Amino acid sequence: MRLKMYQDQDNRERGRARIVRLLLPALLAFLSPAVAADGEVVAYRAGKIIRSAGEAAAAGILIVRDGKIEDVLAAGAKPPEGVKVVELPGAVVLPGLVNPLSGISQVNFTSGPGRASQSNSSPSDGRKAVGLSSLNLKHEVYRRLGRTGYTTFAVVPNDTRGLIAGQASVIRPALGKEKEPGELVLEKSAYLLLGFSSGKAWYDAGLRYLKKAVDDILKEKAAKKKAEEDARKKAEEAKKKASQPSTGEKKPAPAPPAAKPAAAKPPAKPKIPDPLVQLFKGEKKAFVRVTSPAALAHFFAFFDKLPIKFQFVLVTGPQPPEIVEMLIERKKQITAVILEPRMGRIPETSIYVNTARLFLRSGMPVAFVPLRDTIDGHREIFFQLAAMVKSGVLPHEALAGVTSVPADIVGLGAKVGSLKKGGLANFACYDRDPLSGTARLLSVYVEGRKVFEDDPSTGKLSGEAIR
Amino acid sequence: MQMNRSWKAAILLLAVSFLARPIYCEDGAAAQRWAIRGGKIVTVTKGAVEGGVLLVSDGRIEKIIAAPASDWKPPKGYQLIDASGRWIVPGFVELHSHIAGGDLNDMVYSVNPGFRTLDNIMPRNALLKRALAGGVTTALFIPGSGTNMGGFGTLIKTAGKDLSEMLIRFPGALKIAQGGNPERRGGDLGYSRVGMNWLIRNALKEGQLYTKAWDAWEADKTKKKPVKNPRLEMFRGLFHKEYPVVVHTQGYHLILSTLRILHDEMGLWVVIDHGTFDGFELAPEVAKRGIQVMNGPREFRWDNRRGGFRGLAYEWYRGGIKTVGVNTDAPVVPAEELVYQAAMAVRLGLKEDVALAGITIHAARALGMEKRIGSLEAGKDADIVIWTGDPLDPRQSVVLTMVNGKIAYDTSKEPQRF
Repeated sequence: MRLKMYQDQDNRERGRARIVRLLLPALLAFLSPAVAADGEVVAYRAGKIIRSAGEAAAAGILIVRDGKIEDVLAAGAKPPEGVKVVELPGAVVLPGLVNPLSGISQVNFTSGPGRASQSNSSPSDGRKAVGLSSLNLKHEVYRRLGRTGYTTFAVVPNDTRGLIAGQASVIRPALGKEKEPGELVLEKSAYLLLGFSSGKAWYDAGLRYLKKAVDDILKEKAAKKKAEEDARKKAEEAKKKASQPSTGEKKPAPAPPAAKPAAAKPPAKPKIPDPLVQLFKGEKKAFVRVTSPAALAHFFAFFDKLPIKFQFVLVTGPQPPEIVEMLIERKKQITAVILEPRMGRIPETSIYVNTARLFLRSGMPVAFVPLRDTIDGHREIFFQLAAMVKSGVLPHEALAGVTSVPADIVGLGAKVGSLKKGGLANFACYDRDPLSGTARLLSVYVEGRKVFEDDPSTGKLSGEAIR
Repeated sequence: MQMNRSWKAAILLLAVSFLARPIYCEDGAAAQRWAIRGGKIVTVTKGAVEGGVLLVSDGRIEKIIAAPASDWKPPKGYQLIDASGRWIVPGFVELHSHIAGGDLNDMVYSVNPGFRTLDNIMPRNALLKRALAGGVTTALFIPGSGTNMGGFGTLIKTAGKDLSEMLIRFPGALKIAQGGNPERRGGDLGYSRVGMNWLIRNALKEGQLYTKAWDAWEADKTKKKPVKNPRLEMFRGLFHKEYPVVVHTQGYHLILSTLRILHDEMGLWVVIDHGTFDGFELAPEVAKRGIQVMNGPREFRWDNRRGGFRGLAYEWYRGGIKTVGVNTDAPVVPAEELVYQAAMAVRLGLKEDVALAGITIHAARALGMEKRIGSLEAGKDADIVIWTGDPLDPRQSVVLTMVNGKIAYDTSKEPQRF
């Protein structure tokens, strides 16, 4: 009897849920003021706007046109005539968060982050793989991305665990109208991700791949030099010949035929540059993931042997202080550090160390990525950051670690990571200081469009997404 | 002569011990009497007191002076702890903990009513110390959920020089795992839920008959005395509701069988542990039976039907469990992060005061210990935690933890552990 009762209740609720599900999109489409028509200018008035990490929160008005921030006005200012004004009372507005390294949204992504255990992977070569090519718009995850407060993700290809994992594409959450994955992409190839584990196989493979790239560069340089030398010699010879009196008016016949085939030949296909070579030339950014102290020792052992070096962003785990000191000494090579917001422990003790704080005090920028590379993990980021603040990271450093720093290291600092003029109108609204563990995400905007809204007053549709 | 010398020695010893006694006592008294002044005293049950004084003596809270005079000085023999600007909060009560010792899953048999965690406790271990740094002062140390009936847990304080000082109650509670984890193991019987429920019911029936036989003999001792069975002995207290059964149960249909078998059929004092997934949809039924729910370690669920994240503690609350609490299943979530679990529940809808009560007084009540722990009231155990601010804010940390009136963790004397 009781069972049946529950079942009925269940069915009734299912029915109600179905009706809600059918009606809701229509209702929202009707009500939602925030999906601006093209060219429309919208002013968002909020109690607190944090334009970028480190700046004090101040009341203000955000003017958005065509998905971009046109201006940020002071609170007292009057929004331009005829502009639609959206009130965000009591909201703390932040730049949309940026994840500089994620495996989320890739075709077969389950939960393993880009920096997952490397124990079961091989030192493979994925230099041609690009995050974009592994996007699958049919996956529900793209619609959920915006519900996290994050609005920018640098995604690395599905198998992120090889020695050369692949090239990261920077994407935004889906707004629901995209027809192909390319529409999500802000930058097709932002950086090349390399990963190193400890062990002979990795050491040898690392040396082999990197040495090969260096050799290619050196060969290319030598060839270029030789070509220049040849050209110079030819020119000299031609000069010499020209200075000699000519034997007749007729020009040598071979020249036109030689010129013709050259003209007829389709212009040589632009050779796709090898990203690893580009890395050494400084034409591409590099992220290097090395987590264990042993792997770090192995990596630097062969890295130091290379005649040419490159700068990189280090992706690593919590490290004991002496390892951090060693890394800080390499500040010239390591431009920034990506860490998970968690404490490290000194081996054989129960003394905990805040690795991020040590890097930050030495002046190295630190970007934080969620502990788990899932939607839940992204939603919990401020919780973990608050714990970092408790153990010594300054609040503005924690905030910068998920906004401006990751935006800069993926090369999109002008577009995302802060609310500056000309940047994308990506922002997230919280009901209080997001670093307080109890702050609730109220809404998220991507390029001026609302992708998420939560209504704490009802509590019924916590986390409902608007598409 | 010999006799005389030994008498002299005895007299001298007596004299020395007599002289030493008051000195020792005074020292001891000084060490056990505290006046904690200033800050915000969050009593949990009787609101908050700003700038009051909390007097502690003999391991208990003596009284709270709400508005002390400006020239107030601690009475003689009381040591002053200045907590101005701080929050003074009762120690947290964790109903699902495995950190006081190891070896908690003996998986030869599926039901093990004779097992007890009491013998596995390792006082002052590193995990307990971290729990203290997170403000957790009481923990129900229960067996794991590898089998359907893991044995009897022990209710302890997280600090104490030895077991006798830590122990609050044994048995603290029986641990039953109705589904989920026990399914991970292979085997014949108890591999599926029908088998598991049979095993649980069978063991409990046996315990019930045993209890009845003893009850009959207690009532009329002229009858034949039953044979003592150590395996079933602890069931007697369980069926007399001296301690509860904490049930690893989650999801709608599993909680349904918890209600049916353990509460309705066996008439046990039930506490729902975990209560995750869509279990909250049974909240009205659970509330009707007056069963306490301790949600965790997962605090949220992606709801496929409605499309949205749902805060589980909040959903239980909304469904009628006004005393809902959270747990960590430490070390699944570290014990010191119990308050994070509560903060997460707040972010997902629960009110701050409900969340705080859920890990203090409501958790204490779930174990029948509300008269001793769970709030700051005169006469209760002096389990007091001084925080830098609101404990629900993860940026705040513990400055000092007092258990039974003794300082167990003090950041002014040792490094901050959490």
